[in-house]
Amino acid sequence: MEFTRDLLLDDERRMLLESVSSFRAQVLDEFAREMDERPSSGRVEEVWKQAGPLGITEALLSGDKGGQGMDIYSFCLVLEEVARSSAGLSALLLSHNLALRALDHSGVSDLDGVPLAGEGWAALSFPLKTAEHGYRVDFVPGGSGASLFVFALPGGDDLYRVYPGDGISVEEIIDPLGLRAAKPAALLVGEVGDEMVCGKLGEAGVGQLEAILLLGIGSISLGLARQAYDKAYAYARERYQACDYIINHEQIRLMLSDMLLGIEASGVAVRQAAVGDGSVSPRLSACRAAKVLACGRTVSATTDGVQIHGGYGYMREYGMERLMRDAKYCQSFPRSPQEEMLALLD
Amino acid sequence: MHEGEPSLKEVRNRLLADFPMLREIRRRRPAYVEKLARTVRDCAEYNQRYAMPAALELDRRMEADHDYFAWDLVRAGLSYRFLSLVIPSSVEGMGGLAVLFSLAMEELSSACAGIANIFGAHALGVTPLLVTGSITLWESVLREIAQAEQKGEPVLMAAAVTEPSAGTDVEEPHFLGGARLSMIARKEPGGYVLNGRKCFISNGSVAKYTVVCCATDNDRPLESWTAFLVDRDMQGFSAPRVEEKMGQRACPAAELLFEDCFVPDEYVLAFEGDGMQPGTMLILAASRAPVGAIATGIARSAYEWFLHWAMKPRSGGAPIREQRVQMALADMRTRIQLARWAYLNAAMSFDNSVGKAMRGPAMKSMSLLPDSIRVSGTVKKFFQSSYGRHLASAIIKASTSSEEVTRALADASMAKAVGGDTAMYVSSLALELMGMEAGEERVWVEKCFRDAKLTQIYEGTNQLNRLTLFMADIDNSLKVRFHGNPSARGAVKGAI
Repeated sequence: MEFTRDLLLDDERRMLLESVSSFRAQVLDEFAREMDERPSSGRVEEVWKQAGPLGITEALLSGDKGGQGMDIYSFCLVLEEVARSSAGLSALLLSHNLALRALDHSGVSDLDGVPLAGEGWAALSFPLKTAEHGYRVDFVPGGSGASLFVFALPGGDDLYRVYPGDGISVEEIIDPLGLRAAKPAALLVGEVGDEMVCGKLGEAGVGQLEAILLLGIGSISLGLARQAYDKAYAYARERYQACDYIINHEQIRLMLSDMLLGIEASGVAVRQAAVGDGSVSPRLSACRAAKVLACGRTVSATTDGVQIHGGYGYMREYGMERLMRDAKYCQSFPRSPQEEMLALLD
Repeated sequence: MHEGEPSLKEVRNRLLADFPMLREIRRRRPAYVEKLARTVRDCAEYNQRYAMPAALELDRRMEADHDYFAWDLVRAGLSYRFLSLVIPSSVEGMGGLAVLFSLAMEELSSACAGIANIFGAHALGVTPLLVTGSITLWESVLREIAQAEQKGEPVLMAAAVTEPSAGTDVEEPHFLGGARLSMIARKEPGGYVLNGRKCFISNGSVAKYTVVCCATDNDRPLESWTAFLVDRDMQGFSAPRVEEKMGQRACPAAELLFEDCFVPDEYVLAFEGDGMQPGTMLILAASRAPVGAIATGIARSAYEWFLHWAMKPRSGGAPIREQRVQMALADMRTRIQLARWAYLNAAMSFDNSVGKAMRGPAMKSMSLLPDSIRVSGTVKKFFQSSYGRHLASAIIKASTSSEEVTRALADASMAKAVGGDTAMYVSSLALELMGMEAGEERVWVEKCFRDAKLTQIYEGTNQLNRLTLFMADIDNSLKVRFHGNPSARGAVKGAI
């Protein structure tokens, strides 16, 4: 149940969602656990390849360059839907698509060497922080195995396009708590030279990328919360305890209602930010607010989802604990919620 | 003592600072507080020498191979007598009760809750033998554990209560009547035949002895709930599966299968039908404070790693300079201290009620008997006889009022829920504030976050613990308000 979800679903978006749902059911649900537990097994790459024909790997690339030219609202729906099965894969989709959009919008016409149609991925590296020798990004979804990295320096609007080995070092993050299927890595950028600059994003472009990143993470969180709610609701209807089905216990009903309220509030915030005010790009502050709200409520919803499942929720087999771990990573990526909240006032 | 290990004086001073109540107790019973400090120091030493260096690698290893069990870490704990902490001194144990054990659990969990829970689940298995006054099993099983420990051989115990379709229901007498039970014990000449499954049993796959609670009549589960001691070598007993858990992986959670498993009469704890009341209620009164302590240890670990992270110098300044980090640290510290006081209070409540009975003159007199008499056939037969078992059970019951047990259970349930919530709050907030910055501290705090969630679930969900607290509180306060007017009490309870 979600009251606001269908409001802006036209036929085109419905069809898109149907095809993504079918991809989830036919491919993703079967392999999501393996992608989380053994991200280096090759399954992520295999599933990525199968996602290629759906067009979602090039959703944000404009049509004249071979992409889908998808609007932000639809793209967020895709991320949300994919995240219900694998938040990690959804984060990988986000990172890759933002890298393509950055190249596209900075006037890059040559897409040679850019992985397309499920044949590998590019990774948007954000935010760069000043480190002892150069710059550092703590968490890049898709960083491990990316054939191309795209970033802007702090405070700058030049877009850098860098290949692995090109003065950067990629550190695979071993066994992170969540978003494992995103194959994350930390990126260390040493010397950056002018030859790496491939275009100019402009100040507005940098802000736009950040806004979509925040909105995307908010959407992934929303997908996680919806999945947690659906699983917890179904379990509560089946589980008989304390002389009744637990769905009939007030404690459980209140937990489920709170999950639902969180989904509704986050859904409104995320979708409102995605629609924006009719201009081309969403507003950064609205996306920031939506992201903080959605991620916070999702941590709470997924944790409650595990609690409603009791011991079963804690076991990997039932898939609830993965939602909780992924939600916790969404909350702190790309920055802590406290930093985002402080930035809201800027 | 190795370099960097805390001295007894340092640990004692820390204990007295964390628990001001112990200062007062120390004036009257200095040896008791000294024993507590020594135990905590032993745990701190074990952490530094064994648990800390192994914890992360073990956690990773058991994610890939959840059937693995770190016997080396259990063996390393034997010289500290971690398997005998709550075994009575009359059978060569350390004679500790809930206070000592809870303090040990906090300390061990501050390194790794999974490793700590191996010893915690073992004590949970020992506890039913203690609280039911099963003297003959003290002599055989508990003495075997203590003696084997001194020879360097680990003998582990476990307790099996949860069933696939009954978790909350088998921990609360009000719900047991409506539980969907899958396990049953059928009376046969000379014993009982057990059939069915138990699930999520900590240490279940590695324990030599498991206390199994189930009904002998599933139409009357409350009246027939009984505790049995099962030896893993008994025919028909197996542990076919170990769960893949999110955290606390070092301690395996197993499914146990009973297929016509015959348990002789002398392996019945107390009497048929005593399993829930007083059985399970007493066990939970004893075990929930240590679970609160495990959670407090996890919270402390997350706090300490977060503090370490916050103090590290950075190019833009250490995060500890930020007001939001300072406020968070203060809030975490406050909650940890409150959780600590809650579990100590609950443990004291237990030690001064049920514990008092186990330490009482009648029980103590047992230890005064020479070994040759105590283990002689005549004495053994006496305590195996109905009369002898009634006597031991009566000693425990006579030394403890039902109000005291109810109060101990309420305090323990409060401590467990507060501890679990604190562990989740602290580890979750620490992760939030750390952002995505990688590093050793983050790896530890992530482990704390995964470990913490289980403390809100096992030993009764926190929801059930709150309900138990409410029921117990209502029960005791109604007794005070409507003393001598049971019908008025009944009317109020009925309305609830």
